[in-house]
Amino acid sequence: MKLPVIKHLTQFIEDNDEDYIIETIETLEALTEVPSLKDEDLDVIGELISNMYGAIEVNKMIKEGTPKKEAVNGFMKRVLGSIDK
Amino acid sequence: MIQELDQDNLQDIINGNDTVIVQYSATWCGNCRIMKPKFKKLATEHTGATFVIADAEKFPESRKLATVDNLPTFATFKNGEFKGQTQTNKFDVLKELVDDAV
Repeated sequence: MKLPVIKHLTQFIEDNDEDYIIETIETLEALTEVPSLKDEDLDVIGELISNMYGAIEVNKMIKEGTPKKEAVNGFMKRVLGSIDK
Repeated sequence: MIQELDQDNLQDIINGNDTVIVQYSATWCGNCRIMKPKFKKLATEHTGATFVIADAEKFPESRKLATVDNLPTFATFKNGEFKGQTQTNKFDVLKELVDDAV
């Protein structure tokens, strides 16, 4: 997860539409089926998908009335709260 | 057999089955989504084991049963005991873990 990327994508959703992100995720997920994909390609695609889902989650919280900064921080807390680190 | 955990009762499932293989994931985790169909494929090939998908965010007690410090984490349990785990988005690595467990 990369916070600047999530923030940028959240702004993109605000300026455009969430559907662009959802369709891009679907495209990237389909790309992971390419058999000749290298491990590092898979790492990059996985990270991109995570950031896009992160932006969707943040956007959901904003739509529910959470201020943007709190939504971003809240989401990152959720991420860290999901692993034992 | 594959099931998605709908309550924090992974320990019961582990106690009730010989071999249990768990994918810890989260809805927003890209690599988890990439691995889910591969995990399901392995489940169809290893019918003797119980495959479980556990939401690491929703079920913290289940998470405590393996060291989940990254997602996706794949953990194996044999005869009620934790056997091993790996964190990967590579099918071959997951397959090796599963083959070793069954």
